[in-house]
Amino acid sequence: MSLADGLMEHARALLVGSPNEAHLRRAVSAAYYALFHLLSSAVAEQVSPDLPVGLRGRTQCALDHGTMANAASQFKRPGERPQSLPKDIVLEPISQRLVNVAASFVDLQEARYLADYDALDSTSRVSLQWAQENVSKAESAFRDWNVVKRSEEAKVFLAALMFAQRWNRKADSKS
Amino acid sequence: MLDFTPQVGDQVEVFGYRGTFVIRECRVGADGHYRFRLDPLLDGPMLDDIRYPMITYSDEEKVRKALPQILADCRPWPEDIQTKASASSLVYDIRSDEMHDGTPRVMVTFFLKPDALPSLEMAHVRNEFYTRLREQFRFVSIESWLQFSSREERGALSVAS
Repeated sequence: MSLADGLMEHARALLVGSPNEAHLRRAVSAAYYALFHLLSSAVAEQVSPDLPVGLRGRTQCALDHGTMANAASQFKRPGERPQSLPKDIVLEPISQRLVNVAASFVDLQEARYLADYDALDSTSRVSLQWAQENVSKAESAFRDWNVVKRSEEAKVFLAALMFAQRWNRKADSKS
Repeated sequence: MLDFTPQVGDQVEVFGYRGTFVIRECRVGADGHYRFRLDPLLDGPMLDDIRYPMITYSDEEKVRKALPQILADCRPWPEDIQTKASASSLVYDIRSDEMHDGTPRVMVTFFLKPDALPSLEMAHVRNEFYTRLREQFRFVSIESWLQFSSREERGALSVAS
């Protein structure tokens, strides 16, 4: 079982029975990390060989949560190209499934921030319904990713998660 | 296609003025263009004879105007979300804030029926509903991150413990 699948199973298990607040928060956090590991391992697999040993793992570690969320947020409109995507990258309008994956990643990162850092629950969101919605969101993202992961749009998306902030560097440096 | 015709009660921003204004009167001038009489939402001057190009809608207001039309196209609704007495509209709250990294966000929160039982199955149904809403919102030009969620009935919030 992959780490991503294991974390997803862990998130679901935390919601069984009568979960307390700690379980709810950990379930949301695990759901986010499940999706994070699913996508970050896919990025590493795409950009890095599996040998020598350790190289792919280091590549995965180099990914930054904020950068990934920022890149994912560019994939928010089905049927369009992300605005920040360089024009020389040929990409058909993105699908609803990929939008779901991207949007789920952004939403879950925000939920995870609340789960792990907002100890006082300043927005009164922490509840079983909230945790279930977020775990469900991660499950849905897993399903959608399994459908689109071999597509060209998925390859562009994965590259964006790692490189999007630097894609337009040449253009920026000229201005 | 969504109808963004300005209407009395809409909250708008006005070029050259600070704050939010409410459209109190909306008429078509002799030149065929909209003219507005506006009151400040909080503090500020009352404005009259403001032309259409002077006003803009915030992302939150765009969502507020578009959501009823989009909801009408997204039936059936999840059965555990509250409807208004007439059952013609869902009960929801729209507000804008910032995400933890400072990204502006418009958050649409639906309110669950008091007897709604927590279940992963219903959470799936609601998430599919949000997906349909998000798909429809591609026709609305907003820069903020748009997020949908549900929560327990107003005033009945509690943390499982």
